[in-house]
Amino acid sequence: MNRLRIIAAVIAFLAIAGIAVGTAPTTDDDVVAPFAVRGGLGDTLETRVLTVTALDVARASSLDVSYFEGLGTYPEKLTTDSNWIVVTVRLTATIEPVSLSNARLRIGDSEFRASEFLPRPAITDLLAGPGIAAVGSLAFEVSDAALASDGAESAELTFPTQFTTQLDEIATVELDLRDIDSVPDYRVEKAVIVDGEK
Amino acid sequence: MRAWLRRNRVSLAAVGILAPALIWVLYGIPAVNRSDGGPTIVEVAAGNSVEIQGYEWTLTANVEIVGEGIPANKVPVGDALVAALIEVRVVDDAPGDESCDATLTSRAMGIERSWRTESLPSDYGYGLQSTSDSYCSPSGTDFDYEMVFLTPDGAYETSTVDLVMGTESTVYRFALKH
Repeated sequence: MNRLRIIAAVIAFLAIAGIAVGTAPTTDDDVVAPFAVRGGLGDTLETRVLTVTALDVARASSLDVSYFEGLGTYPEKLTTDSNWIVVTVRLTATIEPVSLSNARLRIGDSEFRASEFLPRPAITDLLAGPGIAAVGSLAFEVSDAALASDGAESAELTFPTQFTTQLDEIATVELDLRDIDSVPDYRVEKAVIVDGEK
Repeated sequence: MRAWLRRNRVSLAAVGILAPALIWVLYGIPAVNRSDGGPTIVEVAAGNSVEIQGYEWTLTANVEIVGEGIPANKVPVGDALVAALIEVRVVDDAPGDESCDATLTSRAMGIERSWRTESLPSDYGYGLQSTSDSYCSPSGTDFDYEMVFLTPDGAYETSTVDLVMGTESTVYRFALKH
């Protein structure tokens, strides 16, 4: 009788251990995945380190960047054989300056980085101090195929602020890119400090 | 009891050595690292001077310009422009070719936030005094260092000017005059 109890206990222990092993996360990604703070165009998204609002989205085959104010010369137009998706954003850092140079546009399984071709002052390199609001544009060079794909209906613009995003809060703007009319030439404005919200 | 102690003397000796060692590893070393890691802070009360590398540094004036909007006074609504003037006077054997960096730092509500000096304060309608320098580069002579910071409205009341010389780890924390 005693032996039966021991055998039953061992079987129960093995069953519980099997369930624990079977349901345990298979990779660290499941455990330390970042938290998405989601919203749509016009929504103000607040994470630990920034507050961001996507104000407008446009599609064009050429960008007018004649705002360039630096030394030397810079092309007034940035053209592409694909498409420029331009998102105007309003950004306020919370604790310390943050860079938007890691911004990504995800369409289906494809991910596009924010272009580094916009001349200064661009929102990707404007490091306003905490609590200071700035407005500027992010430009993504996106293929026709990506915009024609099913994923364009539920594209995601994300703002990771660090190289490592584990357990970070990431502002994520959900965008429908299918019905945006393409214009031949879109004028990009320089990034500027703007009035804050009192 | 004595017999038990004799039988276990090696184990007890091991515990006597390992327990303090474990406590040192868990708590002692991190505490030492924490104390070594932070900068040395030198507090400078409002109106007082501090001698740094052969110069006497005195914060003599500071002002806040509250934002009324870019069309009105070029300072955004919700923000404020904070300017501060530090007089730097040669005491003795002041070396040249030095540099320093200043930030305005607020520690309101236990959160430390810093703002760097604006390189073009004229963008916000602020004109430097003709006798001031907007950069900190001691060169063996007297000079006035005028700093301008763009901050959120309200930061002025809780902020200090934090000055660091070159690559030194000491922070000279100047209280503003209110």
